[in-house]
Amino acid sequence: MDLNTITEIARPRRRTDVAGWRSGDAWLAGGTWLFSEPQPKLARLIDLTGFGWQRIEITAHGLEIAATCTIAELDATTLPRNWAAAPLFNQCCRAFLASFKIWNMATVGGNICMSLPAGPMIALTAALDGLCTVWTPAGGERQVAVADFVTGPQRNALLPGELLRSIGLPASALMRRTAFRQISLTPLGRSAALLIGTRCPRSGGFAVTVTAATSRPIRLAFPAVPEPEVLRARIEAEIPGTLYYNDVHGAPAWRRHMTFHFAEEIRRELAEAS
Amino acid sequence: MSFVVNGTHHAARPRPGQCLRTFLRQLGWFGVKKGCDSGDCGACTVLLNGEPVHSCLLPAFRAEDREVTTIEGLAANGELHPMQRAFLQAQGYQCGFCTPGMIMTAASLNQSHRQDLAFALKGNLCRCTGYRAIEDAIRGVGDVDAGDGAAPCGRNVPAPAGPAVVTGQQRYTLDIVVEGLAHMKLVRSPHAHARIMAIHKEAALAVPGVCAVFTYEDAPARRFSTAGTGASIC
Repeated sequence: MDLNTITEIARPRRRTDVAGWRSGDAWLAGGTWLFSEPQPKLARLIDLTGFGWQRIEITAHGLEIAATCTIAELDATTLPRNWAAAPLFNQCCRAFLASFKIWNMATVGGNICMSLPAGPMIALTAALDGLCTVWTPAGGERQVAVADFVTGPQRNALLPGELLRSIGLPASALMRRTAFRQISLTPLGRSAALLIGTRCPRSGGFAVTVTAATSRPIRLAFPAVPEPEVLRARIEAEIPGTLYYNDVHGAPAWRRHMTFHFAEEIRRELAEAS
Repeated sequence: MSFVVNGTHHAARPRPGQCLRTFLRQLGWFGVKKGCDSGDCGACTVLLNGEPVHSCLLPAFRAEDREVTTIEGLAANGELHPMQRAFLQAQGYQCGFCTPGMIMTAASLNQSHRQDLAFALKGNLCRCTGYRAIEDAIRGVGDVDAGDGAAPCGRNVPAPAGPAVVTGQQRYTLDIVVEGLAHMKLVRSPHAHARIMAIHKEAALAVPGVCAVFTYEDAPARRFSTAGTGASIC
């Protein structure tokens, strides 16, 4: 929709071009959320595409995803054959409520910064030990784990004027086997529970990341695949009832039930020999 | 800003917060429909450098130096695009409002999308068809009996508006430009269950461009309805 209060589009090419952050500013990446609702408090959009960031970098250390990388670009990326987690990328892209056409515009960084419980890029990157690189207004940068970046529904660790620059996924996490489970109240609907399990081929370490069911991502790590009761007790201890999300896409009690159900399915799947 | 729409070069500057959908319609491309305005319905689907996008979500300035294809530009050299022909053959529309966006989306589907049409079409809403005729169109099923000039009785004859619908030439209320037309905005009370004692119009009348403000005080004591027989309601 038209954002009629916007009076200026800033299009910086370099970081030093970014003038002082002020009230009424917003970073513009894909724009798929900004342009989907009235934004009466905004006056200036700062377009990130002018930075020309390389969207995807594959190195020996892992994968570096620019915040401006679109969902379509991420989904189309061919990953090294020894990265067993590769199927997870398409599974998470398909977990978007939005059409595949939106994938051509929406960005990975935008989805993480929206910080909705059902954000599938949050699920993907939190499950793979993602590390956010954040630019600070003073010209510095800091790093925050994705699992700590999202602090609640539409709340995150960004301070005014800070910018999510990129998300790094370590190669060690990308080499893990994964298991994916997702459910919605309606076919192809918004995720009400999205759980991802990983298992390290070397150490045998197991982790399950709970998103969509909870207000923020919860990652539970174990040195090995736990026994069912151990996993259950850990979920019980670390996800209190109040943390299960409550909206029209699912009641907290159902989301809690699905969390336990999926976690056990994932445990069984990853306990099997690859 | 310079960009190309359906092979036509445009040099025009959008407003800073304008979306591509509004900008295209302002330039006369009314085949780009205004639907939900929030990226859900797909009626505004266009191709940007060949990729399908919802133009209501795309900042208009992002079209700079790029090529936009709307439903009006899908046909080439006077020949309908195969998907436009398929929608005619299957009568893949009813009111036809969603059809331009539906065809733009359908024309961009790859084989993988066609294996899962429910997924591929979840960004296009149709209130009329139930999607059966749309699926027929995409799968190449023809539902029309052309009849080669025979009497139409007992045959599935095509809707007369079909050619205009599949090419984006069919005009709907929002597509009609009337010079100097005043628009009405309904303003509701922000307070549920409040009892209105008085309405002050001064602030609204001071807004540039506002012609008049009507309130309950302007409602006639004797009311008429256009519903049913149009008889007066006492």
